[in-house]
Amino acid sequence: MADSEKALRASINRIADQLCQAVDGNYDFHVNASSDDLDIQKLSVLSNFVLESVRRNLTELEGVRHDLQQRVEDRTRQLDRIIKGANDGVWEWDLASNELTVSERWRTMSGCEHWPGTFDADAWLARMHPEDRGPFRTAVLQHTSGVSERFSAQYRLENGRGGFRWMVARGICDHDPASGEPRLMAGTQSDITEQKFVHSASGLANKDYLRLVLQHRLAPPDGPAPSLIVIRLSNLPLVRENLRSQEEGELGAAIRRRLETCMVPSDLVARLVDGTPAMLVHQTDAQELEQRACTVLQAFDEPVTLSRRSVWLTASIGIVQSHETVGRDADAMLQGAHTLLRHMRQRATGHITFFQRSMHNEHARRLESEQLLRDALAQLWVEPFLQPLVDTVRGTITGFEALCRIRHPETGLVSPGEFIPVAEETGLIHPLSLQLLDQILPLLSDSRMTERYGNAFYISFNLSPVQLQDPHMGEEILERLRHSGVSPERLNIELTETAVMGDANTAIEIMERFATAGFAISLDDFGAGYSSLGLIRSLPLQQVKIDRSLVSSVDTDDEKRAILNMILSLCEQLDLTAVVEGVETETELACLAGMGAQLVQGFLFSRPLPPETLLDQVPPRGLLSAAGS
Amino acid sequence: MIGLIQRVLVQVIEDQGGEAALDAICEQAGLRERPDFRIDQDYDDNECLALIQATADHFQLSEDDLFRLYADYFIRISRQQFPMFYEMSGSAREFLERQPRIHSTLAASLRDESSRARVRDKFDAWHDGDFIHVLYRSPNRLCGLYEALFYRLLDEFGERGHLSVKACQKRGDEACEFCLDLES
Repeated sequence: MADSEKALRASINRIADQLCQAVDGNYDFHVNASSDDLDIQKLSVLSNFVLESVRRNLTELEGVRHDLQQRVEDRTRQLDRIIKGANDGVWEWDLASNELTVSERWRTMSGCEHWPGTFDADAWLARMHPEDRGPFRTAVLQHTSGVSERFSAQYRLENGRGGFRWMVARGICDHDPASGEPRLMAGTQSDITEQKFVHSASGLANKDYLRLVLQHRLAPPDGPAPSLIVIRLSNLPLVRENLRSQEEGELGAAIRRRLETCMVPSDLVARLVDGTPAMLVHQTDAQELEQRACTVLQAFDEPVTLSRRSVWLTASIGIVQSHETVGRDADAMLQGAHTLLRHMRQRATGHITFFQRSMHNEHARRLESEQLLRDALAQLWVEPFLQPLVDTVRGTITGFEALCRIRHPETGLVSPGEFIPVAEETGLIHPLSLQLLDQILPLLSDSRMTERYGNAFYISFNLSPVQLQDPHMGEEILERLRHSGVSPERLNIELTETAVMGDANTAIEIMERFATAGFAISLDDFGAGYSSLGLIRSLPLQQVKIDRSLVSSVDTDDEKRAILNMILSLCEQLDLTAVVEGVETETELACLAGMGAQLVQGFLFSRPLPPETLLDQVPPRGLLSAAGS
Repeated sequence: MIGLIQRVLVQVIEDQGGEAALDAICEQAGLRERPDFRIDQDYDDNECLALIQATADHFQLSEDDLFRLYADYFIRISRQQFPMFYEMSGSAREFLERQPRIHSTLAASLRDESSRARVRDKFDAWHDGDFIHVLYRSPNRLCGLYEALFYRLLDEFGERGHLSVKACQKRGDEACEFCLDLES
């Protein structure tokens, strides 16, 4: 081999050997030819050029990579800010493997802090409320099949602490471009509990949430059933009437804070449908519940301070235990709470009242009675029954007390005790009375009645306490009377003491209008309650009807006799006609007659009867001897 | 300056005046010994400029004439040495567009990064419609040489065209800018 060829090969190998440094991905070296041969120099130049190109490309790629990384980081930070700002969780669902990958926020908001970042998607559905799983799956299918452009579903998710959060998931599906098969869904999960479950003014959980949690806690058939403590703030409507709207909000928040001071971690404070606050507690024992109730009552021992004033709230507590309700479910508990609240409203119950199943039965009966009453008014099933008032000297009938009855076409007569309280409570007493009056007035001029009992008999007509508070009631009765052409003296208005004492001013005003119009007015059930002798003097009365409780066993009871004597004497001195009610025996009659009672009424002479029966069975005179026989 | 420039110039001198001319020119240019210029090395710019000036003086050529002569040599020698660069270019336009990168190729052998960058950054080319704009930024101010090379290259590809100077360092501009109008 010639020297020149050897030199040439040596130069080529030197360059090749230097290029071997690139084997480790290191291109940061320089090829040195050290040859005078121009071609070797050319090879060296171009080797260096290639190396520099590689270095330059790598630098550029590194720059691009850095830029991309920077952009990814910027974009990630931006998305993180957006997601953090939106407070949403992020999820990605691999539809092929059914694996769900979620963000940390997703796990926190879902009460799954300790779950891994990726898990089986079925676990997500398992935490949803059973009623929401079906609609969720439908929404997924509608989206993956292309029916809906975007996926969106709302659902209630267990929070892992015995409660629920209301969520909305939104997302979009990625399809395989070749097959069109859905392969991935991704999106966000937002917590909309505040909008769905929280009453904005008070900050309390709403009725829907209460029902949901109740349902959840009552679901295990053998598990402990929670109890419901309802807090009746009886003067709240009155307090609210006098508050500005801003103060109303303050009051709601203040009530919530008060209740929160009585809570233990497993409790829930929420609003019933009528706004009454209620606490769901885990205690079931009556004593423990009473203690919890006492704590709540104590929370209202101090006035609530608003920005401009302080207000006292009058609290009483109702407690609903699951075992007392009809059925172990949320609706039964809530129904029990409402029944209990109505019971507490209607009756002077104590500070703490337990719901009893009998209240539910009463409620059911009351509802039934109201339906019956409404049917009766609509179908004209209302009838007057008459009971005679008998003159103890002459043995003649001076008048009748008209009593309201309902005759059901299938079940027959309905006792007034079943429908009068409901009529008073619902306000139906007003049309009921007028319907009764419309049937009484014609009886006063009915030919058979007048032929049998003469033209002078009167009919007593009861006005309930509720009616006596209605300033239009008097005018309506007078209008009907004018229309019938009956003389006012023949209609006697009976009022009870309690009716007059409720709102004495309105009652007296109505009574005076009746008196001025010519009606006789009777004070009914006198002696049954806290009878006020002063009241008798201040009212425009013609008649006092002495309650039957003073009559029974009057022949043997000295005290009753003394009281009756005093009342009869008082009536005589005040020029009032005394009517003794509830006379059932001969001896009672004899005793009363001996005491100077002028008029008597009772089963001894006749039960209340329909006019037709009355005409058949009750003669106009000779009743004393008939009673004696 | 990359040794290729001087190497071509030495060839011009040798062909035009022989060894004696080369010695004389080297002496006049202030070179202590007759250099053996390598294409993979950088040489002092002032030395090169002195060599060019001395060549023009020795052969009593104007700068333009020397550049034209030099351009002829340069195209021939570079084509012989780097034929692929010419083969890759189907036209003068393609070659001219690629020229800044070819220039950088030669700079790649320089060890010093700052020297490489200096050589690499001398040329920049871009399109402006059908025109090619070339930016030349070298303190050597050899814009006349570029012009001579441009026209010689057109001849090499059998094309016609025109170079207009938009900016020139000799006129005080920051860089020279040529607008190349090619008929092809």
